[in-house]
Parts: sequence; C-alpha cells; structure tokens
Amino acid sequence: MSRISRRPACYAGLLFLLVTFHSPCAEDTQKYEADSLYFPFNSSVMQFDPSAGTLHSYMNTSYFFQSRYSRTGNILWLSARSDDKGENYILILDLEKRSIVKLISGRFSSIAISYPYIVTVSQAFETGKGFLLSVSVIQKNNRVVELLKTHSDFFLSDYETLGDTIVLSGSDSGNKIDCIEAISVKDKSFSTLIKIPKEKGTIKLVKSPESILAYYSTAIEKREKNKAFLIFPKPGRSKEFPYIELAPIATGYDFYGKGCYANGEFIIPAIDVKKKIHFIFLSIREGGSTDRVRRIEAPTGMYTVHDITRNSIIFTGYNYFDSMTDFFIVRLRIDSKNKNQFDIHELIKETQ
Amino acid sequence: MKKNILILLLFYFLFTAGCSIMDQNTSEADIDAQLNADMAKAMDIYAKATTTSDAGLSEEFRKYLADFDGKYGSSLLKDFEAHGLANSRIGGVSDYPPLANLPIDTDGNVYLSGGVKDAVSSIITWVAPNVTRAQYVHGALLDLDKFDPTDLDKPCFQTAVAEGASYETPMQWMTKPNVAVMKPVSGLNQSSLNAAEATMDQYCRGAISTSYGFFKDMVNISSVVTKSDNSLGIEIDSNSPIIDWTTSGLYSIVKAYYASIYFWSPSTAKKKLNQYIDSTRSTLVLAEEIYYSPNMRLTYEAIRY
Repeated sequence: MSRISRRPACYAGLLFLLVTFHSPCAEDTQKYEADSLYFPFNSSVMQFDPSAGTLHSYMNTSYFFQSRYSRTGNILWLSARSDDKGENYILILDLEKRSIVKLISGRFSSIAISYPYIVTVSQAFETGKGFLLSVSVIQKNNRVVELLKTHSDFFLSDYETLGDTIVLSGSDSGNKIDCIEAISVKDKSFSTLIKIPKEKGTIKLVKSPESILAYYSTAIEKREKNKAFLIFPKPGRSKEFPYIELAPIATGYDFYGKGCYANGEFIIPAIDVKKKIHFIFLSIREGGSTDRVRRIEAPTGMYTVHDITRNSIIFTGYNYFDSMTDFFIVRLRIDSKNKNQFDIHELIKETQ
Repeated sequence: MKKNILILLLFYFLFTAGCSIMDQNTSEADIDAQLNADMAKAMDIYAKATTTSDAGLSEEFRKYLADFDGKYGSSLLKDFEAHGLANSRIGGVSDYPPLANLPIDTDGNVYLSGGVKDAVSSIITWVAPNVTRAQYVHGALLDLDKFDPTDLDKPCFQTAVAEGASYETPMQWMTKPNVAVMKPVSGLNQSSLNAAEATMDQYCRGAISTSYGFFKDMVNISSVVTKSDNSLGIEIDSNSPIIDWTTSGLYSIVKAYYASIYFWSPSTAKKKLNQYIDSTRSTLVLAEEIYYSPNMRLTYEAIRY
C-alpha cells in the first residue's frame, strides 16, 4: 500500500498547499543559483530551489513563453511570442548574466527546441503544401544552421530527441492521419515511421535511454485500450527504426499528457472517469510486454517536467479539468528503497 | 465673348483636373478596379493590424492615407489622426493574464476577438464598423480534434492571418483582450463541419492572391467568409442594420474616391458609393455580424479594457 493511501489526511494537506503562481513578483530580486531550477511560465522565468523548497520569480519579461524549453548549464533555450510584432522567438537566457538574446525570430505556429536542435512550423498554411517545417542546429557560437526544410500537412503534437535523431508526432489538418516522423540529423532526411488512421487524442512521446514510448493522450473516456508503441531509433540510420505495438496497458484509464522516464520506468499521467489524474508506472520488457504496472493517484497532471533525479521528479503540474489557469510546482518523491512507495511530497507556494 | 472664353477655360481646368486623376475614357470597370486596388492596400494593412501589433503599421497606414489624399484630394489622414487621438484612451501595452474560464469544448464553436490594446488599434477601429463594445475584428473556429488540454501551446483554432490560412493556440486565445464564444443555435452537421475544417484554406490561397475584406480571404472561420458560401450549412451573418457602415473608414475611403472621380456629378458619386457599400454589405461577413447573427448564440464573453 502506498504512503498516500495510508495517509489521506496528509494527502489532503498537501492538496491544500497547491497554490497558483500566476502573479510573479514585480521585481527581479533573485540571484542566480547553480543548483536551482529555472523554467519559463507565462511572461516570467521562475526559480525553484529544490533543497530549500522555495519558488521565486527570477525575471519578468515582455515575452510570453511557451512551456517547453531546454537547458544547458546556465543557459535556458526558450521559445516565446511577443505582443509587439506578433512574432515568435527562440531566445537564449544566460542565467548568470540575467540577459536574454534573440536567437531566431519568425512567424511560427509551433516551435520545438531540444538543444542543439530546433524545429519550427510556419504560421501560414499553404494550400496544397501545408506548413513549412524547418529543422536547424545551434552551433557552438550560437549560429543557427538550417539542416533541412520541407512542406508538410503536419500538426506538431510532441517531440523528443535521442542522439542525433529527432522524433516528431503529429496529425494532418483534416484529422485523418496520425503519424510519427523521424528526422536523422546525420542523413538530413525525414522518414515516416508510423502512419495510422487518426484516433481521438494526440500522440505523446517519452524517451528512455534506448527507446521512445509513443502513446495516445486523450481525455474522451475511451478507456478500451491505451494504444502505445515502443520505438527504437538507431542513430544515423534514418531508415531503420524498428518499433513494436505494446499490449493494452492500464485498461480503465486514459493516458493523459506527457510523462517522463525515471529509475527505469516510464511514468505516464492518466485520467479516470471522474477526471482525476493518476500516474501509471510502466516497466517494459525488451519484447514489448509490460513487466510492471503500478498506479498512484496524483493531485494534478504533469505539464512540463523540469528535473528528473534518482529520487524525485520536479514538474509543473496542471489539470485543465480542475482549473484552466492554475499551475503548480510539484515534486514527486520516489522512494528508491521500496519502489512501491511513492509520495507527492512538496508543493511550494510562490514567495510574493 | 470674354465671358464665353472664361467658361471654356473653366471647363478646360475642370477637365484637366479630372484627367489628372483618371483618364476621361476610363471605363466604369476600370474605375472600380482602381478603387479595389487602392482599397486592397488599406485592407492589407488592416488585416496585418488585426493579427499583429507592429507599431510600424500605423506609420504605413498614415503614408497610405497621405498618398490617397494626394491622389484624390481628400482629407482622410486628418480624420484618421483625429480618430486616433479620440481612441488613444484604449491604447497602451498591457499583459492580460490567461482567461480563467474560456470554454474550449465544442467542435465548430466560433471565437471572436477584439479590443486591441496597442498603437495599431486606431487602424482597426477606424477602418471597420465597430458596433459592439468589444470591437470584434478577428475570428476563429475551434477544431476540437486538435485541442490538447495537456498542451495549451498546440494550435487548434482555425483562423487566418495576413499571410493566409493559419491556426492559433489556446494560450493565444486565453490571453486576448476581448473574446466572445459563439455557438451555432442549431446543431452542426458533423460531416459539414469536417468538410469545412478540411477546406480551411479555401479562401486563403497564399499571401499573393488574397483579396481584401474584413473576413473574406483574411479571416477564415470554417470557410464561412461570404454570405453565399456557408459550408457549415447555416447563415452565419446577420446583415444587421445595427452595423453602421457610414461610420467606418472603409466608407470614408470609398466616398472620397467616388467623389473625386465623379466630381462633376455628386448624384453619380453617391450612387456608386451606395452600390459599393451595398455590395460589400451583402458579400462580406464581419466579425460583428457574426456576433449579431440570429443563428449564433453568445455563450461566453470577456471584455477586459
């Protein structure tokens, strides 16, 4: 039995601590701390100190950030839009210097950034062609070099990178097709890995060291079968991406949102008939059968993962069905001694 | 004799003045085509203003009006600047927090936005007839199949931008100043809706060939952009008398143009102006007409300035 189910009062207390942070501090007073986590939220960059468990606004800007970002050392690679010109940007935030520099700008409907790769999808949808997809690489001097571009009727849903392979999931404008595309940076080539009739929901991707789990994220109370694939990208060999379709997993719950991989397990958010969020822990055998499946009830969904360690996962929590504008910073502690015990441990109130 | 010469001279000056604007032998179709060409420039700037907030557009629009005035002897720039001053109280940049309760739940719902908050607001409010308090100018259709409640940065609102067809994200709509959500009064036929969504680029054939219009070719909501094309199977516009075109900049431009071309016949100028506005009224769908359509029901509205 998990600690949560044994301690409902404690769990309720933790829920009580869920506090929104959509009013960042007016002034940037926080110093850069190498051990802190930094992540974009609306027009601010937030700072979370995992050891002290404190959350601050590190920087307020005139940009409106997208939630996903990439970090290398003291650099954050951010995507944002600006109200001034209606343009989108990829920005470099030097946390130490507290400076933001524009890397590229343009009119995009979607941006995927996973350092050193950038995928942009044009804002305009051209008849008979679709969007213009462009893949670029950031070089050491921060020079952006376009590797390849193509027109495609492709709505980007999710992305992951594994070595020099970028995997994209998406669907078409007419909602007829779901597909997973692989981009080999080495070959500078696109290849369609999976192309299947569209199902309700969107395909999310979660990477492990050797594979990428692709699954349908939906909240339409389907619950018959959580369709999922395990893909094995082979670096530099774009034509060889073996994959297997997994046996039905966690029947009775719909996978719901992007998960992560920690401690040898995929952790996938799921939703039940009452719109409650659960985390499903999956360990998948080499042949594709699920070795272990566990579930814990979670106080909120997993929106953007910021940090994964042996013992914990820190993420922005969000459940659209609870509240459209309430986001939380959440730490999921994983007890490494007994993997059957998990606890949602710290939820931190923003310091005003 | 002297008097006759003076009259002849007067006619000569009037004639040459007229020729300087438009050749005497220019056909009526050419005259209308010239107006459309002049109007297209205005509408191009207008369309950009509805989807971006580039302050440079204001200067571009001023230049357009100055050129127009120089060509046709009108005083539109002065009117526009006076309007801008009157309108300046709604100016100023502000960041609205995401709307807490914007419904994103019904396939085919129409979303309207307005209430621009920046330097180019004067263009939008001057050009278009503005009747609603929220000054709706931009529209989109929710394609619920594309909505991902776990990723508010994923595009699912079918719309259009100056460059053509496009999509916008829930977060973009949640942070717009003013938003209305309109639900068709009668249930939409799903196959019609799917067909409309699949042909979303029907009126947006690239940036080059788009023609002007408040909605036509610029803002595409489910391909319902003209009164004759309603692939949703419902009349989406109201053609409502509430929409007073005479207060719009578009009306002023057309009026000034025909007054200049048909300077010798105010009645012809008036007739051409009325024809133009009647044609516009009967072919283009305004965001505000959708707002007043008897076939659409307002289910949500947020006005934040």
